[in-house]
Amino acid sequence: MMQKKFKLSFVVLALIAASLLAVSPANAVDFAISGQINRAALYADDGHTAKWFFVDNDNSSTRFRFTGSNDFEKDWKVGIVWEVEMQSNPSNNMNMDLNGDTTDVTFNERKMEFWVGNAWGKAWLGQGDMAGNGTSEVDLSGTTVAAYSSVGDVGGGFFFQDNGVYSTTTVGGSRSNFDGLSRKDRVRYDTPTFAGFSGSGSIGNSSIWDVALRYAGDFGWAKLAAAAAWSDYGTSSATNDNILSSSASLLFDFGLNLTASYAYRKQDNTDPYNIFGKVGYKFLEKHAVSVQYSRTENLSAKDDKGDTVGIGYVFSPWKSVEFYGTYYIYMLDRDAGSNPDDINVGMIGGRVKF
Amino acid sequence: MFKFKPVSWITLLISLAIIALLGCNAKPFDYQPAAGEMKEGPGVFTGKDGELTIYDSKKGGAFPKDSDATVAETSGEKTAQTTQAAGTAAAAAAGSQDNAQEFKDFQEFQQWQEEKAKFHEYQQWKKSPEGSADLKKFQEYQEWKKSGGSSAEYKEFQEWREFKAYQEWKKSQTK
Repeated sequence: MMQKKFKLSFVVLALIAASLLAVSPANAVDFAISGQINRAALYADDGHTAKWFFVDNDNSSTRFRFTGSNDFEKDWKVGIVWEVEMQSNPSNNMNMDLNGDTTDVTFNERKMEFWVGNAWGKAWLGQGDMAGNGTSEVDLSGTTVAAYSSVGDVGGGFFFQDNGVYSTTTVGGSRSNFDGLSRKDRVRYDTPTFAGFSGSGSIGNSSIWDVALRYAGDFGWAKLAAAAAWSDYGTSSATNDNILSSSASLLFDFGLNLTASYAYRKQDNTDPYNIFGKVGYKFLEKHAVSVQYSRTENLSAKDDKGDTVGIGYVFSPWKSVEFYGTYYIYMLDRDAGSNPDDINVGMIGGRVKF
Repeated sequence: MFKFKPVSWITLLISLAIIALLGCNAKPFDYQPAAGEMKEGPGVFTGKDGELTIYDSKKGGAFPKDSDATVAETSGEKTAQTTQAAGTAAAAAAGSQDNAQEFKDFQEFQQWQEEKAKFHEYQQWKKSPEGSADLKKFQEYQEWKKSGGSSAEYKEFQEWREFKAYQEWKKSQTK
């Protein structure tokens, strides 16, 4: 069944490529480079040990990218995206055993893809977002660089401890926003937008596939963005079957914003899920603040509860520069045994787009 | 505490939400995912575009193609051609899109200054005795043209112009 889908996808792509050869040469071409640096100082206290770290904020890592597009006649367009991240001390990989910096810095692929589009939609081929990626992370608060539904991006590598005895459970291992299938080598199709709605679907290696629906509408007094996806692990995982991910965010014109997310993973014996809520406020054009709460249940073990409370603040003195502060309290309520101490993490830093 | 049977009621909720949102008649807006993604908007060095355009067949960029210069040459005056070419070359040499944009703005400013000076000259001429007499004659001509567009006198005037053109043509044939 999946093999047939793959074959069909490649036939469609071949037809698109063939039709491109039939149309006229390029009308407009552009090629650009952009990037950002996002660095922070992070303080962590697990109840037994407290340390400072200098990190790359994994909420939106340091990276650069090349983009290009080519307009053809009859509304055909072709484009490329090549995005690479480079993190020295990623904030989600820190732990109390670290002395000095983490391993050598390397380039990590994020996106290497091209797209072909016209009035009927857009087809993508290469390493890039699966259709469901980002469907647990719709957020209009303006504080995502400080805090959002993926709470493990800051402090995800810290181990819980109780009376100085460290467990094998980390912050990241006990909570997740189950945001679809992330980025993969795949073929993807996006429909055009109709009344604010758009759909997409993608297929990748090991028969993984997903479908997603998105909405973005402006009511005049408020903006609403929402997304939902169904993702299937195919044969890529022995324990995970599929994910339902969803989120929505409402931003009122006067700055108040509300964000929520729910995601569920069908998994052998556990079936973990995550709920997330956030209340934020944007004010004086350059400030945004938010408080959030999330709970992941059944991830580290059946009936374990990973609660997180967070506060985020972002100050944008100039459009290309942001300074931010984050505070997270990571809690773990174990079903078996005693509960470990909470882990407190504070982070202040800046993101500069160049 | 939180026991969910997700698929059925979430599908129902999503369906209801779609119907409700379609009924709201909201304007679509271009939502760009922010979480985990690169910052949108301007860059410190790349200006308001937020990216350094290495090549753009419409706008130019750090390395504009030759045809862009050709287009510029046909549209400007000769003096402007020289400065345009020099400016484009300077911008390209500087390797900066911002420089090119700045130069374009400067050119527009120069053109505005030139027009402003000419307009001032026209105002001064209007005020002078010679100018006011000429202006009176010009206004009389305009009035005559406006009122006499369909009159017999105007038609005769047009006929005379054509006859004059014919005579000139005939003269050129006999040479």
